[in-house]
Amino acid sequence: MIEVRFHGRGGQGSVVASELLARAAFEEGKDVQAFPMFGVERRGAPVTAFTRIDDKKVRDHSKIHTPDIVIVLDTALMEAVDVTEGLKDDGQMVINTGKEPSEMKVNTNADVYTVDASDIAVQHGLGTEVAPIVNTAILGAVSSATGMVEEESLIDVILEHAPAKNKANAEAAKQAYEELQGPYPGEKLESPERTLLSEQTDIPKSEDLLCEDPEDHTDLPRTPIADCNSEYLNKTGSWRTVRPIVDLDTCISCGECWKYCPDVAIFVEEEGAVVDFDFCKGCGICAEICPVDAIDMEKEEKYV
Amino acid sequence: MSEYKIVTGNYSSAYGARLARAEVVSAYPITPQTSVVEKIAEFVSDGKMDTEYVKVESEHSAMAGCIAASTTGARTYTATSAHGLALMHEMLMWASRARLPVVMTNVNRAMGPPWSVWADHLDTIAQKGTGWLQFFCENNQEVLDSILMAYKICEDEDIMLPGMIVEDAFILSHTREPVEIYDQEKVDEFLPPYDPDVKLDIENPAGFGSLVMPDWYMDFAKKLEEAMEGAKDKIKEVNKEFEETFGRDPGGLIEEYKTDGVDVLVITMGSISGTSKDVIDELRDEGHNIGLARLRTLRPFPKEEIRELTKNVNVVGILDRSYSFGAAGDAAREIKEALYGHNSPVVKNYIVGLGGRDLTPEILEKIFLDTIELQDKGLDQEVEWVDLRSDRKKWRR
Ligand code: SF4
Ligand code: SF4
Repeated sequence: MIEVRFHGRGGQGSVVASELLARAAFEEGKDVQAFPMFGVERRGAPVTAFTRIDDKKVRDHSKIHTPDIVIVLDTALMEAVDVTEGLKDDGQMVINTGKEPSEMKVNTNADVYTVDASDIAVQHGLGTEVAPIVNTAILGAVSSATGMVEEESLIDVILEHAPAKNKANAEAAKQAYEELQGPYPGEKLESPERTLLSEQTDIPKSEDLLCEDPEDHTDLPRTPIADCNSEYLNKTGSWRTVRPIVDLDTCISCGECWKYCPDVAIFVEEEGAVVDFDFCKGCGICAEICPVDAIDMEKEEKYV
Repeated sequence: MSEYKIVTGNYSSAYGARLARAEVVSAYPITPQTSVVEKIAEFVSDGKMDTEYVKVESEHSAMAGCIAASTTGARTYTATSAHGLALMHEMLMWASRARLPVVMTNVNRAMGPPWSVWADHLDTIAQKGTGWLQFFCENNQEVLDSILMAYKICEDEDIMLPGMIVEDAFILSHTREPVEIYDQEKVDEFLPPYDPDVKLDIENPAGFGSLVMPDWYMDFAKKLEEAMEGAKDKIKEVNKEFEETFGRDPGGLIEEYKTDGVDVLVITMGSISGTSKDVIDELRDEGHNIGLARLRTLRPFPKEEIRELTKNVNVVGILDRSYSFGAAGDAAREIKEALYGHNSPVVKNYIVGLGGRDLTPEILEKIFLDTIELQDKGLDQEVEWVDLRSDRKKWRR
């Protein structure tokens, strides 16, 4: 059995990718399963999706903890999520980036591959530069890196089942198949150079909020009671792929953006509208609503 | 032509309702059931399903709508989950006591608080005494198959009871698997239109749900129980017919997996059964004489089959994905009751996976090895909660 894990963000198409991969393998006579991480989906928030492929009937309905293959659709996620978790030593990892595999510094013994799926997607008119839809391009690269599914079956499935722009999606997959870089043999480090965002800050994890010691939870309350203001612990700013930039010369301080912002993350100060980037999730509603077009949504990558 | 689609358990439910030609769907959305009724709404608006789709303001009304429509002789379908099912409670009993063959999908979800949208059987099991047939499904194909079967069983003039198809939240409801969507003509042959002998008909006015005196009430209750008992043979019969028509055995009342001559038997329900079968294969390869039975229908409860299955086994391990507070897991309680005065294997109840806690092959293997060990060490405890946070070392590598 081959178990695959996809890391992306809500809206990038990771779930669709997990399904298209399953369909392609099914067309080749395999039994398959595809499922998202069982949670509450939000645009921009980290999303994990999974595919299982086997020659015999897939009966296992547990989650996937030790994938053979990990696919990363968005490198910015690598700051927030440990994408190597559980990845088998003899496994493979395919990352969407313009960098060489050797530059990626991922903490795994698996083989590392890269492909600039974002660039390929944009070339084929899939999404925008700010929000490219990379799921089909990355699948082309995955087919070439792992041989898990044939390029031909993948293309057939994309042509038939991609939710839109089927031809462009198929072309993107073909190009990514050719442009894959790697393998580069990964090496697990004793002390990884990359520390996760969650480890860098002192934001408590939700489970730590319930009791002092999650291993010895004798002090677990009868029923969970959240502290007032606990929502401040959920820094929704980490979901952002685009950020609002206010042109203070144009802003007329009307306060419309403040009224409509679903996260109360934009305020009118003396100089004009100011964004609280700890909580702004980049939904773009403020930019839509601004009567004088003072807000532009810009790619987050420019600012990190 | 039948075709394979790769669909979620929820879409499988929607395709089931469509193939069964449900004439009225009355529903209210709730996570994780929502995509069942969304898909049906899409079928209806695309003209792919000739159905009166009734939007209501609550689950109580959703079931009331099904009851009214079913009384007129329409084939009805709805779907819900957890708190929605609990809110339907009153109407569930109305449907069964009015002897209406409403068919519904319940997506098994934990009851809050603590708030949870993940798999747990308590919502369904809390309704086991309401007079509904309950089919617990292992995979998405079985969801569709069970809906077709349920209409045929429930609408039989000797049965005339409602039926609930249960699929585990997310583990089936949001997981895509290949599902054979059968040819409509073949389904039509298997499941002819619903045409009850008694129905609400404005040309022939009649009263429904009227009062009976204490001298009579009990006899109606007994009639309901006779129908429930009769449903056992009906399920077996329809299961066979289903297999002959579609080439697939949905599992009858209880599915036996490698149970011939075993010393150790484990009993599971729902989606953990597939994972468990993989583990049983491994343990058998290692030389353990163990098999698995999957309880498919909690109602009617297959006591005879259980007695037969446990005749020559030493130990039975029963996995419950719910708990009846103050007692034990419900499957375990009912199985023990069925055994009383017949067979006396050692029986242990494992409480597993509440609120969607993952059941990995590794944890299941530890459970089954624990059951095997009972043969030598005897029963250590009647009920054990598996993989609690304080106890993870015992259950994980
Ligand atoms: S993009 Fe604008 S509206 Fe959306 S969260 Fe950020 S500040 Fe608020
Ligand atoms: S809506 Fe536009 S003009 Fe009004 S305060 Fe916000 S940024 Fe300024």
